[in-house]
Amino acid sequence: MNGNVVNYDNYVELKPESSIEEASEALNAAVSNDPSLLDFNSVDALMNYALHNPDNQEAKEKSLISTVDFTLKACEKDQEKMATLADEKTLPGITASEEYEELSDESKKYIEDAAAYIEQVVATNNFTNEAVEKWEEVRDANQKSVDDIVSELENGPKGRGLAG
Amino acid sequence: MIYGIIVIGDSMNIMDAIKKALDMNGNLSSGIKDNIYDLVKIMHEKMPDVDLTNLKNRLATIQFKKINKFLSKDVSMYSNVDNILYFNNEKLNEGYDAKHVLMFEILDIASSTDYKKGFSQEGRFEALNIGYTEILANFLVGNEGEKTLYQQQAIETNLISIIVGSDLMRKAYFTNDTEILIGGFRAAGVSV
Repeated sequence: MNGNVVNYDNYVELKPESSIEEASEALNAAVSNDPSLLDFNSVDALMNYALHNPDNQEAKEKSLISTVDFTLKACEKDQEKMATLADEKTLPGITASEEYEELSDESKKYIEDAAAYIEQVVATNNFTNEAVEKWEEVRDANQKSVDDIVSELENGPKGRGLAG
Repeated sequence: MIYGIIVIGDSMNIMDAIKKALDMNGNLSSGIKDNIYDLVKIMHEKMPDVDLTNLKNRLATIQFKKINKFLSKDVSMYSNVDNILYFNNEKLNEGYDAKHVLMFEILDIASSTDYKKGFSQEGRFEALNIGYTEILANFLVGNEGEKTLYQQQAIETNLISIIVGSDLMRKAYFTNDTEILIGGFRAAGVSV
């Protein structure tokens, strides 16, 4: 994340009836006080939005990918948490779910790459900055971050954004 | 609600109290009461540390009502303010596991106050709370339906629980204490 986050004081729920302007305002009400700190609020907003829009495949997909992305970032410095993520019931297990089958090819590749990265890091006990940087390259190449989604909401054509 | 360990002697008492509460309820058929009791028994056996007092109180007066599928997309929905559990029978018959659905709702009832559901707070953590309920329902009775209730939310919550810690998440859920959840996020270097 580039620090363009939603602070608690500015938190506004992304409601199903939100206009794109309201959604943008909620997600853009963002001031970064500490760019090193991960912020869960925008992911929470995406998860809630997808919950209330079960027929919106785009929203569901963005919610899932953003959650995976966020979890990896939050856990990548913790060996024990990374090992838990590598368990077949967690990150690799997503590929066996019904939700995975509904994903776009791009998102499927992201999940597969994330699972492969986790498995490799845990198997080799390679919790180095180099390994993390390598994953960041994969991630950046394959998947939009929450900030990219926010940017789409702000600038994308109406009807294609989450609130469209 | 007090979150604490219940000793075996009390364990029998709370299940007796649940039975009495259901018997007192004039809104439910005996068949429904039996189904609820059986599921609460499973919940109590697998999660004996969870205080069921709140659930007992709500079961004493709860009502079940049907809801039209055109009014709600949900298979079921619990109104914690009115203590009414709504079922969308047409949706339920589309391939959902009724046992799983009822277990999900019993967990929702057990973790609800008049003002809150689990650790969700004024719209925040709502999907996370539903995902956690789905995880617990899966743990307790599995899911034999063709369709799943909130699988995506369960997957996402499962990931987030690794950041926060599943023990903290469970405690926050059954005590309606959002601050415990927020504390777990902050301890992991995440702002909320």
